Amino acid sequence: MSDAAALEVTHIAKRFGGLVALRDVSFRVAAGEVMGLIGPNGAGKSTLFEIVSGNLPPSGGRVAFFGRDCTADPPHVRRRAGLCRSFQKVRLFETMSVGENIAVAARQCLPPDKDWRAEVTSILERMRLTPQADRLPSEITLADRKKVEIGRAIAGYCRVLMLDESLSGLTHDEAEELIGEILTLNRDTGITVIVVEHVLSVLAKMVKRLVVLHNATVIADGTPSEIAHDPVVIEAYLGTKASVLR
Amino acid sequence: MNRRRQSLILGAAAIVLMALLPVSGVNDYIVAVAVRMLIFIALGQAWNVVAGIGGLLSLGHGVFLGLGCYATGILFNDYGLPPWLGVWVGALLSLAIALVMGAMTLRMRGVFFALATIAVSLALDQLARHYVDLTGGDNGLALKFLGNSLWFMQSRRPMPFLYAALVFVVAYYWITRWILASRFGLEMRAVRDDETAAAAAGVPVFRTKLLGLLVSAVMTSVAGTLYMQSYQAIDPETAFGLSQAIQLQLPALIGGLGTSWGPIVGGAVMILLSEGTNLGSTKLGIAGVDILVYGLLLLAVVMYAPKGIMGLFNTRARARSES
Amino acid sequence: MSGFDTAMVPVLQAVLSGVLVGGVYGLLSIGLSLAFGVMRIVNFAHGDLVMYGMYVGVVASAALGIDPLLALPASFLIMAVLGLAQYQFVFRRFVGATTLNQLLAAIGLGLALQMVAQLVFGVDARSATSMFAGSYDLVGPFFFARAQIVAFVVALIATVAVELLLRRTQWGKSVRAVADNIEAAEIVGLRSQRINLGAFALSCGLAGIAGTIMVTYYPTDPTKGFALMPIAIIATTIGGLGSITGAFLGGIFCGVVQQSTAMLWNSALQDVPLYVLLLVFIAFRPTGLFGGRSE
Repeated sequence: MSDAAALEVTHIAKRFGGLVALRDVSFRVAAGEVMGLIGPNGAGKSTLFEIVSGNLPPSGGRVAFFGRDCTADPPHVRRRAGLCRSFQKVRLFETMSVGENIAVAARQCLPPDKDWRAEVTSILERMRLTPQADRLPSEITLADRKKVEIGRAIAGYCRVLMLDESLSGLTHDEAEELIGEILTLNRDTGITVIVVEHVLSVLAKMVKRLVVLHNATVIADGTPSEIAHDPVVIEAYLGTKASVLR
Repeated sequence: MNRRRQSLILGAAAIVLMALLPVSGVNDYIVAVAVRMLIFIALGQAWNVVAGIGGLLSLGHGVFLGLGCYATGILFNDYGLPPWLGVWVGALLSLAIALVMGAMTLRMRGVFFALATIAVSLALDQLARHYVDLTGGDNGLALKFLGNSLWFMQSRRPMPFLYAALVFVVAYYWITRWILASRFGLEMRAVRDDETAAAAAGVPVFRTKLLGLLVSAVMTSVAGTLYMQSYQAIDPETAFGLSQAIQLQLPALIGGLGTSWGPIVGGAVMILLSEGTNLGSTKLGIAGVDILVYGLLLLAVVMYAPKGIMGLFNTRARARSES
Repeated sequence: MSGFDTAMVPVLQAVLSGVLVGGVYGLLSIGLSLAFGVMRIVNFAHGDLVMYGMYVGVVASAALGIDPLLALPASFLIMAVLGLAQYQFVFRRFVGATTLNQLLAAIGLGLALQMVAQLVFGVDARSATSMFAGSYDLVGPFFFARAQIVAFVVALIATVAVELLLRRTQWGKSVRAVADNIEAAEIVGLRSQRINLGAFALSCGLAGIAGTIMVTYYPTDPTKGFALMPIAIIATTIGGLGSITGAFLGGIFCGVVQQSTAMLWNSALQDVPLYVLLLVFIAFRPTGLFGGRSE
């Protein structure tokens, strides 16, 4: 039903041999929400990200997508259902043009009665990539590469977009622009957005809710200002305090 | 598009030239070289599907060539079955082997698939050498010659095979074009570039790789039947040996991996070089120089021109300009 | 032989012969595994260096009148130097990922090496005689060729030496650091190209030893390199790609399977079970019997 969360992660655990990467991680993301997931390096963000997108099997727990258990689904099935992602280090199809990169996803994920060419055109316009459509990924800027990746992630069908440190490596202006585009996307289409970053500062003005991961588990869940004043979070970030708060 | 028209004119000219070869009064040797060239182009086009478009490191495609040859040959010699039917038995066998091999190895990294293709060709090599009654063993299998006959696809002179091989090359060219422009081709290229990203774009990676292998295996096997009819003999070394495997790879590598024209240009270059060195080395009295030429060619291409001849023409050789 | 079932004699003989033959297969494989483990290079030309190592033994014995066993250090050095050249001219650019181009480059290189051997040594099979040639030991109902026992011991020593080198020396630690994470290794100041060069030379030197010891009981010709590669590849995979001890044990495993097939079933099909085993391992246990690199 419609009151099911867009994404619900319940009691997720992950062990690599003796190393505990995640233990008992649970949270819900409501449909249409823009949520931030933060934590210092090594907190388990990437592991969680890979489990939710289907590239790593969890050692325990479940992932539900709009009320449906998808813990056992392979990545491409989740993507076709609308659970979409970017990569921390941009991964484009390097021998294919920008347009073709987006076409791959459009032709996979668009309902069969829709025209994938029109979808590619509209994604290119939305991401302001139309002039670069015939370029190879190696011929465009990093900011544009990130936009291609997000365009590929939302092409066809997208209900939840997970961004893995998409803002890192960008200049201040580029980051601002990308944030603007992501928020517009959320407002226009109602796509749920989950943003993973390791510092809070960039997220503060973007999200209304933050989940903090530390030492393999969730230590806080609230609004940015609650999080910034949460003693547990401050304790966790001790030494990198400045980077959390500013 | 202009480029497209150019290549069409070029292609049509090449076809007419080839087709006129027998009536132009050249001797059968030249026609036989042309047949060999076209057959290896077709085999190269088949390998190009899995390795060029799909990026799968098949080092043992001789398996499917051999199955095509042996199936048609054995069914004809022992049961009188015409190659028109034998070809489908060979294709089915190839499909089955490709399915087992692919299902067992394509979930892993590419290197495992490459090693598996070698293992399968070596296993078939040893089996073909051992089961002499069925395969003729080391000496190989020679087709019984019943005289010129379309029904049994036999001819003393190479001319009919020229036209048959020409049909194959044109058909395989269009199949390649179709794959490159299709959703399936897009999926294969995405998987070739980055499997993880392809899955994140909704591409069923394993199924795509398996399908690419099956298509390529059947194409190779069917061309293998033509090979058998034209050469009228096959032996384990010719079918499953390393130098054959390399001859299947070189056309696409020399011409340009993953392009529709690559195997055609590369196959022509390979056969001309090979015939040239054979002539030269016979005069000089040293055997096996073509192996050295293949080795050096392989090394030169992968090190200095990984995009092949087509890549030299068009530094941005990408399938888009062709689709 | 009281309490001993004579029906078991051929089985045990097959296993024991397999272990001896397999030890040398292991020696063929550890160099291959080292190059893969450190640089992700599958060197199809490895077998051709083994073949050259065999010719070192032939030249030593036939032309110089030296026992091939005494030529082992020379063989190691010659192949190591050849390895340096191979790395500099060919493999340097392929480090870090097993690509189609890398595999093809290695095959091309192998073909060229094979051809050169053919031009220099001719196509006929050649063999070398060591002091142990032709002598056999009988232990109870079992017999062993003494040359094979010596070869096994050499293989074992080489494997242990390489493991100790990698685990106990500073150089070995840097090799393993580069293998684990080349970027991190460079950040802490290791010069990865130089370390790779050393590891590749070691890998090729081991091929030389394997060839020279092998030619004391097994004749060579220019195609031997490619003929030996499949078994080395299978042993390496079964042992776990990248693992040294794994490759050695994988070699023994292959030897036992092969000799058992040959002696108890059909010597013409002695390798077929190995090829099937390779597929089964890839499908169900790609990390190998002894755990290698799985990623």
